[in-house]
This record gives sequence, structure tokens and C-alpha cells, in this order.
Amino acid sequence: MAETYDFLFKFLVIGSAGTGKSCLLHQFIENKFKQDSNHTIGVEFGSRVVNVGGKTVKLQIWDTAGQERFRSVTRSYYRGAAGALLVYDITSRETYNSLAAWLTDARTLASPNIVVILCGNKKDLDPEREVTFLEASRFAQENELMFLETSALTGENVEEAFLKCARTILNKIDSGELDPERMGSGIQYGDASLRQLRQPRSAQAVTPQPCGC
Amino acid sequence: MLSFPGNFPHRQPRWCSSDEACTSGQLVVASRESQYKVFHFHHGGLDKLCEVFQQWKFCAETHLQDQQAADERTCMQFSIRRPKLPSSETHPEESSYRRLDVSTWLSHLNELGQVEEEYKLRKAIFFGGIDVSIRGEVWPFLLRYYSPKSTSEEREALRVQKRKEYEEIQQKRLAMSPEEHRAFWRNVQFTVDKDVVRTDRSNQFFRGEDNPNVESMRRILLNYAVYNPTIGYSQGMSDLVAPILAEVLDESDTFWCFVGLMQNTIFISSPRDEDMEKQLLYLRELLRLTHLRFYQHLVSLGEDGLQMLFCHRWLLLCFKREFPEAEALRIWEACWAHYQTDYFHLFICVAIVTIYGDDVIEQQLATDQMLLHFGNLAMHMNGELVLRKARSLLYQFRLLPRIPCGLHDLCKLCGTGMWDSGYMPAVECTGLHPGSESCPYGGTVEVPSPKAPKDGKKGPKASREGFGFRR
Repeated sequence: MAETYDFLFKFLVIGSAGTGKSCLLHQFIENKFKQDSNHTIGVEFGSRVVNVGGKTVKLQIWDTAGQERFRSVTRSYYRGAAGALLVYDITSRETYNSLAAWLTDARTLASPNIVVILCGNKKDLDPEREVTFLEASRFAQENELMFLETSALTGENVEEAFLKCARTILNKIDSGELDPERMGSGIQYGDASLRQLRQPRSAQAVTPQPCGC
Repeated sequence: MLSFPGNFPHRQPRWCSSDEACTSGQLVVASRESQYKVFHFHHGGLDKLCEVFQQWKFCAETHLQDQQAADERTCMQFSIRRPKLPSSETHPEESSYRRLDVSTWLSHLNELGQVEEEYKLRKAIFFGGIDVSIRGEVWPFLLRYYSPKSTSEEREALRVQKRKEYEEIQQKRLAMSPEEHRAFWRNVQFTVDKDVVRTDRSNQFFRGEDNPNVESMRRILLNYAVYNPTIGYSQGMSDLVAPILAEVLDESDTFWCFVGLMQNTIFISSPRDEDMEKQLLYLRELLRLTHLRFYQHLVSLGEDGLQMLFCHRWLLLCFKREFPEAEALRIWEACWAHYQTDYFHLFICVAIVTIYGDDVIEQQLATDQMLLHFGNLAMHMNGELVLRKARSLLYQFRLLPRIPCGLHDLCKLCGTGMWDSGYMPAVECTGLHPGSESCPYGGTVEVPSPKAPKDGKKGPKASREGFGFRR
């Protein structure tokens, strides 16, 4: 079952503990809210092929947490990332306060050109809000980030966040600002023969599409 | 018709006749719970699928009782082949130990309640594990909260004294100045609060709103960060403390068991960068020695491959998220037994790679795909099989006449009496590590200087040249 796409982008999800990084990823991949999720340990990832401006793009999204103390993980994790979702929790000022540090990590460890979208998550908890839309917008503007408030619970703006980031990267490729050929750009050309979808074999074997008759 | 896998309900529909012209049929996928899905195929699609299944090594054709001649079969049944371990690949003492239950446990204690022969106890636990009913009693020994030499009376006195100490730590935490507390909240409490409510909540012990056990877990972690501010709190600790609390039950005892765990178990002792690097270094060496093809694959992937991201969580949580709880805790006990090595967890890693890593090599999976491969295996691996394989790997490791210098630490004594066979293999330098010119174990592989370690014990007399690690 080969998968074809024009580009593959490596994305990161970064931000403080408990901001909903894994839930955003899960919502984007599975279209549902991940109930009772564990905190992430180590590295997990998911991928999804999306259509952006007439191009098929495979987003390979890396999710990690609590492992910042391991240089080795950090290096491999950030290396060659084209885009990042920088996540804070609108009901927790603390998570907002640490954004600058996360952003510095992304720009120094991944690439200064990494396309970052700021996500104020848990938008559904508006009554408990500690961070206003306005101040976060200002932070985004000052740091040249895109910005959306999202809800991994309802799914609001989740898809948009990933797509917006992907679209910006594509635009930068079109304008020549980003060069996919450059090592560590986080972008690869799709080549079905090189990068087959590697699902466990059992999944391939037992899930043939019914013909619908 | 094709059914897959076994345990298929009797009322299976068979509407594809043995008619020669028949080119259509159904694939039925049955679960253990006898739920099943039917997929319809036309134009010979089913035949193609059969071919694929017949050639697939993880799939076995099950012959039905009323088997017809091959050319007129209308129904074929397949099942998923579970990985097995041939008896030649098991530890020779594998089946000599049963689970440590109350009566065997009591037989290890003398009338004063002292453990008679600690080594025997550890060995029994290494092979057989501990019955759930006495885990709370035995774990404090394994975690070095109780000394095996202590009498029951002494342990009671220790508990009282340690409870007092625990309360003092807690008092210290509660007496922080507002400024100290702000820093503590930001560095520790903020994350602890987030993590305890999402740790083992499906376990009955921690289930439900306002569960007092969750609050206990929270206090233990906060107090630990006060007790050991250098380590403080890092994510993953809640995963380690939760099962201990659920077995040991008492908050202060659990705290001290956790202290023991953090001090004595290498893989998580102090989850710092250097420790992780050290573990990965050993693991790479062990793979090079035991599973060269996998090691070569990692090398071919370059730096990212050798970082082995796929096993970070294995090491950090001691496989807790890779196996269902019952199996994971068996693995914990086998590691905590510190039988013959302090690094049994690395043998578990190698066992997983050996049993479940074939596809990685065959399909030449890249770093990210490898991460996905092992990630997908979480909770779907056979823990008993992995344990058996790991024990056998340790056994074979100890038979090696020579070991590379990089793995010397794996054979160091881990507690008196651990080195039961009384023999140490020769250590030789691989010449692969920085500073190997001055390595105490000689120059290169070609010119081995099998200088025996300090205690000067010789290797086995019988030559084991022919011995190699085999999958």
C-alpha cells in the first residue's frame, strides 16, 4: 500500500507539561479527543497526509514531553523540523510565561527558519482563562509567529493550525525562501518508492477495503 | 471462503461453492471475542490474498478437520503465528522456579524474620516473580528499604523511625517561605499536579474523582523533591511511584521504597543526561555483541539511528508502557532482583529487539519508521516471552570467554554473592572507544590482552570459541 505525496514535512509539538500537545496531535490524526491520556514519555509521533493548495503533503508530527533534559533526545527531536506548534494553555499563565524559552529552543535547535504557529489551547475553558487573546496576539506578532486559539476537546481550529503552518511552509518553498534540497530543512520530496507507508503488516493484511457490494 | 484467525464461530456462512468458475469469496476476520468482519472479494482477489497469507511468515494455515482435497477447498483458515522461543534458547534453570508465594516466602525467613539467603531469594524472584498477594511485603526488600539481615522487630522500629523522618520532610515542605514556595511551585509542583491526575487512573486503586490515593502519590512526589532537590521531579517518576504505592499502600513506606528505587536502580536512578547516555552506550555494545545485524542497521542510519529513540521510554519507565501492568511488574521484579547483573533491563531491550525487530532489518526501516514500528508494538508484545529470552541472553552472555571492555560494568558484582559461578570472563578492549590506547584492557581486538579483572579469576577452561550469540 504505497502512499504518494508531493512533500513530507517534519513538525514538532512543543510547550509546557499538560498544555494538551498529545491531545492536539490525536485530534488532528484521529479526529477525536483523547480521553484519559497519559503524559507523554519519550517520543511519539503520528502522521497524516493533507491537501494544501493543490499539493499533497505528508505531515510527520513528533510529540515529546518531559525529556528536555536528554540532549540526545532533544537533538534528534528538533533536527530537521520544518514547522512547530508552540502550545500553551489559555487557563494557565505559567505555560504562557515559558513560551519564550520554548521558542528559543526551537529556533536554535531546529532551524532559525522554522515556521512556528502559536496555539492557545483549551479554548473551550474560556471561563477559566488566564491569558487574553490580545496579549498572546501581541506576543505572536513580536516574535513573528502565526497564532490561533485551539481546542483539542472540541477540535476547533486544530486542523487549521496544522494546515496554516503547512501552507506557510509551502509558500516559502514557492517563493524560494525555503529550499527543500538543503540538508535539515525538514522537507522531503515525496517518493512513493522510497518511502512506503510502514504500517505493521498485520494491519495491512486484515484490512482490505470492502468493495461495497 | 477464508477465515482468519482461529476461534471462529461455528455458524460460518459458506456460500462460495466449489464450482470451478467461482472467482469470488469472502474474507472473515474473527476476534477472540468472536466478533467478526466479512470482506467480499471478486475477480480472483481472494485467491491473491490467500497466496499472500500463505507466504507470510507470521501467518499459519490451520487445517480444518473436514479437510477436502486441496483443489476443491472452499474454506481456508489462517491464524496469526505468535512468536515462540525454542527450548534451545531458554535459560537452563528456566522452569525450576515457581512464583514466590506466601509459603515459599516464609521459608526464606528464619524465626526472627531475617532473610536466610538473600542470593537464593533474588534468584527465585528473578526466575519466578512474586505473587501479587505478597508484593507489598517483599518489594521493600528488593528496593532496599529493608535490609535482608533485619529482623521483623527491627523493621517495625525502622518503619516508626522512617515515618517520623518522612513527616519532618513534609513539614519542611509546608514551612517554605512564600518565595521558596513560588520557586518550588514553578519547578516541581506545577508538573506534579498535572501528572498525578493522569497516572494509572485506570487502575482501580487510583480511579475516580478526589481519590485519596492520588493525593498520597502527589505528596510522595512533592516530598521527594524536597528530600532530594538535585533530582527534584521529572516526568516519569509518577509512573514509577504509582505501582509501588498500590502494592505497599502505606505512604511513608512507599516514599522510602521510592527513595531506594531512585538510588539503586540504574536506569532511572537519576534520570540525567549522562545516565541515559551511559545506558545507550551499553545497549549499543550489547547489541553489537548479540545482534550484529540490528546493530549494523542502526549504524547505517547514522547518528539518529544510534540514538535509539525507540527505547528511551523502555528505559525511563522500565517497560511500564510497553506491556500490560501484570507483565510489566514481572519485568520490574526481575530487574530489581539484581541477579547476576545490575543491567538486566538492557537484556530486556535486546530481547525485544531480537523477537520483534526482524522487520526493522528486513525492510530497512528508517529512524522514524523504527520509532513507529516499536511504538505500535506497545502493549502488544508478550512479556513472558521477552523475559524468558532476556534471561537466556544473560545466561549466554555469562558464558562468553571474553567480553568487550565497554561492557565490563555489566559483569561487575552487584551485591555480595551475586557472582555465583565464581568466574569472570576476560575483558578485552575493542579499540572502538575514545582513549582506547590507554584502555586498561589492552590495545586492539587482534592483540587481546585478556587481563583478568581485579579478583583475578580465570575464564572457563573449556574453550567456547564456537559459541556465538544467535537469535
